[in-house]
Amino acid sequence: MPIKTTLNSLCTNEIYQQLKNDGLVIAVGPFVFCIKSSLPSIASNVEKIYGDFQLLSHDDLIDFYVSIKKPKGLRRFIKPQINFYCDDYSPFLPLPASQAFPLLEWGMNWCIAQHAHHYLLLHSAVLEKNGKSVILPAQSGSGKSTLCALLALNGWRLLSDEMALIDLQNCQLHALARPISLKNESIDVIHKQACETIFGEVVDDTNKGTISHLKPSTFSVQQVEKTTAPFAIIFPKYQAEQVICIESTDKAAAFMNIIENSFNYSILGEAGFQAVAELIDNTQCHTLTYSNTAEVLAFFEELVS
Amino acid sequence: MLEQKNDSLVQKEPSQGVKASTNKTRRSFLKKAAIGAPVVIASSTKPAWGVACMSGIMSGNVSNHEHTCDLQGGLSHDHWKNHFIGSKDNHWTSGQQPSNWWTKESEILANLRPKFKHFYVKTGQNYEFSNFKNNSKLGGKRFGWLLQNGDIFDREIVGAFINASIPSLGYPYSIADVQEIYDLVMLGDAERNEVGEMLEGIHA
Amino acid sequence: MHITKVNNLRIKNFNDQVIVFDPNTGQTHCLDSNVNEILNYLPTDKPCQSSQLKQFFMQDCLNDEKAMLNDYIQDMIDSLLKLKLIHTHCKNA
Repeated sequence: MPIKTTLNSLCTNEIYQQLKNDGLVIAVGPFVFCIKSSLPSIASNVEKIYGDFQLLSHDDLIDFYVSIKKPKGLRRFIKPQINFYCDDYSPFLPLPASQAFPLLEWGMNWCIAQHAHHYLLLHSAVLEKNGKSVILPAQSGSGKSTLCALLALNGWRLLSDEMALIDLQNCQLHALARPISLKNESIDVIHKQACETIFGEVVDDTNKGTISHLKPSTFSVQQVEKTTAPFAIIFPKYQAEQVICIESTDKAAAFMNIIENSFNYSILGEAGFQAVAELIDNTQCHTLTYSNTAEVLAFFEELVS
Repeated sequence: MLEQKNDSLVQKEPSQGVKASTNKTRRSFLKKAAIGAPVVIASSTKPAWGVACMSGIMSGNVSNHEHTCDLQGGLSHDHWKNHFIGSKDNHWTSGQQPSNWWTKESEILANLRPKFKHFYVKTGQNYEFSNFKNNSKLGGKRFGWLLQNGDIFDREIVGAFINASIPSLGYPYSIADVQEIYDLVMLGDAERNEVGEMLEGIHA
Repeated sequence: MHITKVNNLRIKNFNDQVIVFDPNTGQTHCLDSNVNEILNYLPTDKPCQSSQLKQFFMQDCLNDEKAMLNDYIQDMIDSLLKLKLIHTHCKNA
């Protein structure tokens, strides 16, 4: 088996130079990204967070050429802004330069969501333990990412904190193992966990408040090519001071909930319908309301035991 | 169920299975009709066809800044060359002679009071009030001199300061913004000629 | 009223409810399982009279049951028309 070169085989200056010049080529799950930017914050965060990712070259087939660049006008200098580009197209409004790394992460999510229509894409976290994968679909602000981070720090393999990739051919889940985006109080919650955590820079004043990215475990990144069949769908909801409550979800309701949480169901047509039908048939579906970390972790351990 | 037999159509009795199924359906219809069960439980709210929904991915990716691109605005250095007058010790209001609010105090107190220097300009027939509380100098050289003799950056940055200090012009940058641009160039973080040309492009 | 079902509907049954996907509009609906009985009965090619449909489901019912069922089935027909899962046709005399 060929040994894979990872990003952390490069020194800081090499990473910076590659990003600044021809671009850094890395494998992100089933995709290959070429990332370009001359911003020091991009280089430092990429080095810190993507160290375990496989490093490729420009001879490899690249799916997405992405870059973070300053605009050409005076906004390069005052109240500096940055733009995200996929090829030469900038799909978003500019953001303050301080939000460069979050913008890169959002931009990479956008690339996958806009183009990867050979998968059914769900807005959900996905984790696996003991060969059983759990999909956690949820709207933003429901505590999904915090729960995902907690599980990932307690022995679960992270497939994704944002997007489930379900193969339309065989209904298998594909992994991305990208950084987990945490917001506001959840950053402190995860910091206080009794295990090693590596965070990217903390960025304030985004539209969702303060954001920081948690480095995925080396184990999760090393296992990124391993696909897995979905075992359960859990619709989580954090509610302060709520005793843990698990209820079976009606399958028809779960079906409709899944398509509401899908990025591309409406594009896929009948293939999407069949994929969701097969997903619902092959998984147990529950709604979970919780507030206590220990209780929720215990629930998930029992689920896959 | 109809079946053709010997050139005549013969109606066949429904099988027991079909009868049982029909009865079951009828019972379900009656039960749900009686309780007023809804027919439509839910319909998808996502737009049909051709639209990938990005909800949840983008955390409201809109700029927090007022401007997403540089706007045209302000007057050129050529204009200010002929209209910039200089700084005065007294507070000026638009279109008026300097108001002498020192007269209510003794001359001693008046001399001890710090003097606010506002430069003023003439646009058309009126004197414009500027809110730029500083000497009209930059890097030890007077604005007037820089407008006449400076390089492109000197001329345009002075023009930018004057534009920013006259509220009625609606210049897209504040005095603090222009000060920041000036400081960045002086520190070597921005290229002098490049910034001068950008400012020239903005000024009418 | 003469009605037909639209072509190519995809249906997934779950006990008491049914998911219907209409590839013509791209919409997906969660409906009561009784609606599936209506859809199964209706053809896609030859228009069927709504009265004939009602009669089929009301046969062997008592009179007071028939009145209730008539309204219920009409409600289902109206809902399906609104969702564009069935169409009405003008039948020439």
